Amino acid sequence: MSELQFHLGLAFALFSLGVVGFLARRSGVIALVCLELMLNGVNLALVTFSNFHKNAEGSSLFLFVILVAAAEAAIALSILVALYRRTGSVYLDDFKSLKG
Amino acid sequence: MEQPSVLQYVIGVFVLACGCLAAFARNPVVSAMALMGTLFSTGALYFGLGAYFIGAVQILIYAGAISVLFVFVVMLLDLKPFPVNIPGSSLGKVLAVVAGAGFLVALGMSVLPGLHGAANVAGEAETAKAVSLRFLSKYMLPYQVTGLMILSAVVGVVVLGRPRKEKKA
Amino acid sequence: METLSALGGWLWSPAGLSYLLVVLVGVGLLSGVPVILMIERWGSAWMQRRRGPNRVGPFGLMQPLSDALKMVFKEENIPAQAHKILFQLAPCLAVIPPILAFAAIPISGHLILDGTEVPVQVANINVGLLFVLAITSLHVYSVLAAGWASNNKFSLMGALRSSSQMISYEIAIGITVVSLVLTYGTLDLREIVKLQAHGSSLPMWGAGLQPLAFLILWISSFAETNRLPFDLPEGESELVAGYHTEYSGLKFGLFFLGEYVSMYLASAFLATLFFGGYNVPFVNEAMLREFWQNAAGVTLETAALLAVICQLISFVVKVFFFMWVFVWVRWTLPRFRYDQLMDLGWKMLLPLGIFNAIVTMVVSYYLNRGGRF
Repeated sequence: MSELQFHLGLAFALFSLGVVGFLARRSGVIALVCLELMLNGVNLALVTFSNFHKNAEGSSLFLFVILVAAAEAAIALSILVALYRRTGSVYLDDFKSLKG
Repeated sequence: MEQPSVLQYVIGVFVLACGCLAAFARNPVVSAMALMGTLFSTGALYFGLGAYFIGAVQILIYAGAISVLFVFVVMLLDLKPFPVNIPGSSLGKVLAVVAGAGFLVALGMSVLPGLHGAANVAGEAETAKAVSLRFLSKYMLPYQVTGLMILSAVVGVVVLGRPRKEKKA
Repeated sequence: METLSALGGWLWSPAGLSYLLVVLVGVGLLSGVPVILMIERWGSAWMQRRRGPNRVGPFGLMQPLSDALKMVFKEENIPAQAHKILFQLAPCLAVIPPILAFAAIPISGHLILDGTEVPVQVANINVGLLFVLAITSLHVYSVLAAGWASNNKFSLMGALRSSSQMISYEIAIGITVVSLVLTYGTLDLREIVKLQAHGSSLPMWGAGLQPLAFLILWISSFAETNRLPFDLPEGESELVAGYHTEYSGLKFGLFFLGEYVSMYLASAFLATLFFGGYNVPFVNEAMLREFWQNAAGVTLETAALLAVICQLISFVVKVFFFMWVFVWVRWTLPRFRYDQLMDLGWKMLLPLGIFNAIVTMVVSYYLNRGGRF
């Protein structure tokens, strides 16, 4: 297995772990953690490609992804905290009031 | 085509172990700490690739700030432990698992085989200088927009975190 | 015997020196902890006009040993409702980051092994500054895990205060690093040390070039290591013992060890960035080697080794100067209140850091264009 395959395989494994965890867990916090796992997998793939092509494009996009992930994690966590204060739970299936 | 070293294999196994813990642990605090472990060991992988600046940024921002935010919030929310369960009927669960596994296998088969080439350890493309030159020339607009976005995120977090005013009857 | 000499030969070569240094630096740090323990005890006794430890050996020199033995033999109990895994993981998380961050600090100059110049540094990372910052930002986890896993309100309060303090002062350090990078033009700690040597392009040590950055980083390192006057998280009179209330025995010993090693790290970081690192004042490495070659009539390799030893002594002296100031300030200043502490971090140090960065940007732009705007 070459180094490229190893890193890309690992990135794919992280991404799929994130997807499965996101869909299988119904807690808001764990869903956000799995979202970060997905983003981390994508970042690993980006940096691996940047290293492979000896090009700084992947690294620049990596920095943008981190910045967006930071802002999104902050906002999503504060939304979760506000929801928890209102209803006392973060179980995503409890928020059904908009259901038709 | 070089092989990954033994240390990179070990770190890869650690990344996957922490990822599984983070996605499937019952206690949310364990999940958040495992997220920190995943992010830190991915940073170690970046160091192994020779991308020192990228690894340092990953550990500094992702594992040192974003993950701290997660751990903070989870520790303060006092959540009960949470098992893995997929809501719905048993037939639905089986179909969901089969469909999910099929999707992931298809994705993997489209990506993984037929990869040839070596990532080398020189790492000149990921230095701070290379990235920042691009930020200041080609990606100047996204850079400034990202600054605005982070400012709006800060304002949003402060607004969302204010205590609700009780309505006087 | 032959394998030992082969191993020794490989360790003392360009490839193996890092591994030798890993062992030496680790052992050196861990055996420096009793030294700072004794300095703190004697120093505090001297400042408070009382006798220091004098029972446990000549001049109390065996005091750290007896402290360690006491910690080993104490009963270690885990609180009933505590989260067992995190409770036991937190002391490990306290010790690992400071020792790890020492990998990027240039300890001494260059040795000449097998004809090549080998830097005396565990890992020659070209973004050493960012690496040290990144690893010290991981110290927050030990505090959080310890405070939460203890299942104790005092611990949680102490953990919240301590972690918010550490994060706030990390931001001030980050802004200061911007102006430092502008001054030195590099993130590599070894290049920064070389730029502060005699006869390089910079006229003086970092403390002279960036006095405000020096002050901000110095104050912030007090906050990062939870030392007085930023001692509120462990405030004995307010919070029992803060986040390590429930820890006893060797686990508490690990927290203690982590605090002293992070003091060493902060001192080494300040010495590297602002006080010239391993440079001996008024000379640089070439002059040192020449001196030893002429004075003792030895080969170039041995002269390089002697020069490295001189630079190592200089580095250790600077680190211990900063450690003495840590001890001195602890027994001199009163403790900050929590809101005063956060005010200092956000409302005073951060704007000062931004101001320093702007002034540095203007001055370096002016100087880079040859003295005109």
